[in-house]
Amino acid sequence: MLRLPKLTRNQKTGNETGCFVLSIPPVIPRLFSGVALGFWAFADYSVSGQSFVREITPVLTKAGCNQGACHGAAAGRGGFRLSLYGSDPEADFHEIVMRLGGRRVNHLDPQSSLLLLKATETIEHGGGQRLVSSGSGAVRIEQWIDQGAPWNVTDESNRSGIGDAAATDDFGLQQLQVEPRLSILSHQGQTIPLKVTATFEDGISENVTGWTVFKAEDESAVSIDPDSGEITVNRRGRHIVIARYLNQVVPVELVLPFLSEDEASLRQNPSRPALPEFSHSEDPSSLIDHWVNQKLDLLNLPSSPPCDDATFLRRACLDLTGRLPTPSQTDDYLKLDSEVRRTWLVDSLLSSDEFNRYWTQKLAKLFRLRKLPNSQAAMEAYHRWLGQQLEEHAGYDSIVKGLLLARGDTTEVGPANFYRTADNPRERAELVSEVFMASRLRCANCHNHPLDQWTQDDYHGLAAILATQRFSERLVAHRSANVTHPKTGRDALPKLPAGAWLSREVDADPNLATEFVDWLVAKENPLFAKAIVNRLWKVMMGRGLVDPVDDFRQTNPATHPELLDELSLEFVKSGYDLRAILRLMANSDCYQRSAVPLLGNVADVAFYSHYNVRPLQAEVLADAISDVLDSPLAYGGQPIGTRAVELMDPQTPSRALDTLGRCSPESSCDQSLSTFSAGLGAKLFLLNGDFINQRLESENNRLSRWITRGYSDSEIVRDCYQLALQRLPRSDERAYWERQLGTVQADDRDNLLRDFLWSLLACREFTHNQ
Amino acid sequence: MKRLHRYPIGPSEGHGNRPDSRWSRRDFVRAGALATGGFAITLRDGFGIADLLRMQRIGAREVKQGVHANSPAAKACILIWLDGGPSHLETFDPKPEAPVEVRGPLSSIATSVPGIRLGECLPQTAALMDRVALIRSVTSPLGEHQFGTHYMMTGYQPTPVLDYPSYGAVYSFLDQKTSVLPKNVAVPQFNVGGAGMDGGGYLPPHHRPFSVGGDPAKPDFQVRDLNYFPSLTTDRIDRRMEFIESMNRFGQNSVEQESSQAQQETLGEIFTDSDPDLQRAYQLMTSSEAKSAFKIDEERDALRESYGRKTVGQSCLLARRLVERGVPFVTVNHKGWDTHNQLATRLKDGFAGAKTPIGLIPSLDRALSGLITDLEQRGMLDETLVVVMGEFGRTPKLNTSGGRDHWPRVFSVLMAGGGIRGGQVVGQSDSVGESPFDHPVTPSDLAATIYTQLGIDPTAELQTPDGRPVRLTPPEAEIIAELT
Repeated sequence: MLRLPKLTRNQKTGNETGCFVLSIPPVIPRLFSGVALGFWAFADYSVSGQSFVREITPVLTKAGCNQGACHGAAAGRGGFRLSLYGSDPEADFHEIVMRLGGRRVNHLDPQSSLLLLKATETIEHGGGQRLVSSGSGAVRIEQWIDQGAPWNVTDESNRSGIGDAAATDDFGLQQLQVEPRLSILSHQGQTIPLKVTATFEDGISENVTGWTVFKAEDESAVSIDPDSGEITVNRRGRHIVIARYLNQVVPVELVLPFLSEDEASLRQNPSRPALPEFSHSEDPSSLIDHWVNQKLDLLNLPSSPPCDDATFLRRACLDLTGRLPTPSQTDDYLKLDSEVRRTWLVDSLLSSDEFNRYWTQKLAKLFRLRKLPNSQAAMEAYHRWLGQQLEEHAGYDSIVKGLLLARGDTTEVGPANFYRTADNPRERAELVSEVFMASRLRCANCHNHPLDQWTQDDYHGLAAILATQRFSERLVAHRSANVTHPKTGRDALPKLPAGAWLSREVDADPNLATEFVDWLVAKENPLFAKAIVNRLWKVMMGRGLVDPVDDFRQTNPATHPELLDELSLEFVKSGYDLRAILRLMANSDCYQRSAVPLLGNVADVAFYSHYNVRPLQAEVLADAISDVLDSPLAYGGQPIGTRAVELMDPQTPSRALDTLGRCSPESSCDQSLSTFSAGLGAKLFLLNGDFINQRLESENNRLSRWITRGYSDSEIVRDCYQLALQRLPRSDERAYWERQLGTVQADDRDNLLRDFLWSLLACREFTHNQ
Repeated sequence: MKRLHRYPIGPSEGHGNRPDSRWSRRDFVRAGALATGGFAITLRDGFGIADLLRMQRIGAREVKQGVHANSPAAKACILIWLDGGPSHLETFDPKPEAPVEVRGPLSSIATSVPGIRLGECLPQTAALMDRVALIRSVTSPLGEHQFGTHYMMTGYQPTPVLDYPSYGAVYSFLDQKTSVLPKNVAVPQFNVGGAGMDGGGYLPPHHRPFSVGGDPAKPDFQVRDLNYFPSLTTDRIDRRMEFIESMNRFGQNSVEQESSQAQQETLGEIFTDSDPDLQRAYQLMTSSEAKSAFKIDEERDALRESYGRKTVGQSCLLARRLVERGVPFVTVNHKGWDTHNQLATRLKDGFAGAKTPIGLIPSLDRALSGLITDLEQRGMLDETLVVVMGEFGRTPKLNTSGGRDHWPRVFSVLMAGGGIRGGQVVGQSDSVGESPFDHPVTPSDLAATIYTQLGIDPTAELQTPDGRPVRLTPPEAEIIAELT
């Protein structure tokens, strides 16, 4: 610790005896080196204008030296290792100034420093030329070396503190401002200049546009001049550009409307009703349409007209209860006045047992409920508890509290099984952050998250908290919990993600989880409510406002940020009532649009100008087919008649569900709604396998019974349409089937009817929610 | 019934403008089908947003020029995927000089090429060393099964923004030959890397690998649902196909009824009534010739024996049968290589209770040598690229359970046939198999090499459903020139 300042003093005083070769232990414990470097800089160079963090790190990042594919790789490259995007300047400083006997910087002749020779490709460099000789980047580095390659920290008091944080993420950068954050453009090829201003804690503001790294999420849509920050938009739609400077990233939104003003006026688009005066504090019912329509207007996207009543019936039943409407449901619905039909349906679905059962499975999948070895009783208890929560209209916050704070015998206390799905503390940290915060902390296991706020301290700190929940038949809170922080090699300190360090007093330990959960479900935590509201949105609308739904990131902004904010507020106000938010969604114009795109909105997949058609989830499709056939399918050893959406164990053996594409129990099912429409195997299975045929070709189904009872052709066609598609056959369809049935040989009639029903069960209108 | 037999995805003829020259660059392969809820869409131009859609149709025309542009050596690829991450130290990169905790419990043997040694369980492969090339310096930062698998199978590190297609899906997508057999087949199942991946990426779903399903080593092996359900006849299957096409067309009519007069003509082009996967299922099950490709029991006993009777061996034999009949890409999924413990048992001896106690490496040795020999004897080796790899290697030092854990920093890949020059090692690992010693090769480099050998330009671009052009390999990917 003391040797370090001495060495560098020698350098500064121009000691020409070449004592740069002083041996330095290869790995200096980083805490001490931080203190030492700080001390040295304070002692000698506090007056210098140059600083490694502010001056040099941006150059390295801008030139791409520290990206993952180059020296920023975990193992470095060519024996030179930098932290990813300069996230750990102390280590980088050490690597550049100290390692390799200090050969990377040449104090006597800065221009011939290895760092510069390589970067300017004056000598052979695997990464090619990264800096132009005598360009501004090279000059900065040269001047910095000329001044003695100092560290020169910006804030001494921060540096001297001891703790796991070790001030690694303290770049002294108070605010990074990018202007403009949102641009609405008028034509392709239009250029927008961006200006980036960094404000530091010492009050200094600097235009850092030239040192900011810009990256378009879709490089084919947006081109960027790296030096001037000028952005050109080449494709229509909404595009995101990420600006990175030091440790901060800022997303910039660019919108080029789908139709130009001229095109929009030429086309006679069905116009939307004028936006109502909006004040959701009194009445949240127009909240969704307010923001969705505003975005559509911004993008010049026409919206498809409302869907018809029959389509809405089928759609809402499938989305909210995972099953087709029953004939009596259909009758009740159609009997009502058309003004109140839809809201009545939504209310009745939300208060139904079918809703409870379907959403029990949805929550179970989200929480990754599954059967662990020898844990049938535990799984049943867990599933039963979830079901109870839904029946009792428990708030989502209380469900989550129940899961995370449960104690006791897992065969009796259902929620105590939650932690069992991830055995080790790190997996738990990943699970908890993904499920409840929709954030991928996973990246922060090995390095600070390059695109988000999460640090390694957050990751291992959360793991340390969750490690206190011990399981051996009973779930108990345990005092000693050790999660090793890979950087320090010592026990990680418990820490709230992006929040405070938690005390680890002996008596306090069991309360770590409580402290975390209080923080997690607090109204002030923006992620908790948004994560679930966004998932509900995807269930109803087919795509997350933030998509993928488990990837909330500073750099992955919502398509409709205000809408997500206000819906989440509404969710909190409702007492975290899942049904309240689903009701708002189901009653919105946005949800009730036709699935048929218009010419002007056919390219839209993210702004809800029309309903997003989607394949039925494997379990829902299997149940729907059983319902139409009136002949249940057996699942594993479950009692006959058990519905696929009611299966407790997501691994219940079932070739049907596997082939139709149920999601794997290890994942949250966030990614794959269903893969049904895909796959030769699934089609062979439908066409030729025993799944439909075994029941359809036997006497054991509704059609055979109708045939036996002597129903007429037209009755059968009509009733099958109503059961499967909730509509009557149109005239061309009636004519088609009359023709088929009119010309059939008498002994082939039954088979033809079976083939008719088969085509109804396998056609796109049936297998998709429209 | 004839009209059922057309392929809806592909060049659409007869309407629309000439390709805009902006998009006609020969080195670009732009193709794609915009899918919205399963509807294949092609659009006539004439309004703003059609720009993006038009490119896709043009792209479909240009595909023909993009494939096989630079005189390919290989017409097919068999990928033997060692799922779980095989130990490089016990297979293709033994370290006989290293200390015992690195060297491990198994020894090494000489091969037909002086100076190249292999693990002791690979004697038959060793005898064919002059036919195979090894890359011992493959390196990746991803030591988790799903991530590593995605990187190795696509050439791209996984990102949340885009799901990349595997080699087989790309090949299937670009291959314009019509064929009743699926173009991208997995034996027995494509459940690789913990099953997190469907292999199709952003390409239309019917290019995903078709999993055969059954185990070709079992006496009663057959592809599921390929034979008619007992009460069904060809007439009834035909009738069902006609009915379902009518049903899907009725759906389309309802679309038109809801739209205004002016829109009908264009919308008529947007929605097609075909279901590519169903068409393919129909063709496959009604073609006895295609079905015979899966009849592995038609092979001579001695030949079946030469591949070894384990699943991987018979899967390789089935792969050869499929390739012989024109299937361009077959993945043989060999599972069980995640050897965190009991290394010698898992890799060499097999578990004592098993019916035929034999470890993973001897099973692979039989299968691989059987395949190479068989392909060679049939004159197919030069046009069939054989690749053997897993998602990463294993830790240089044995762990306390006598196993090795995940190690992506350096591992080995084997290639043979398809224009690969055998008898050589490209790239070395260091003395303990910990890091590349020279010539580091990334999975992206590997992707560029595989595509090139298959006659596909690795810098070509494909189009995602939302119109984003994506290169087949990342810009930094370099072809491993030494291999050919």
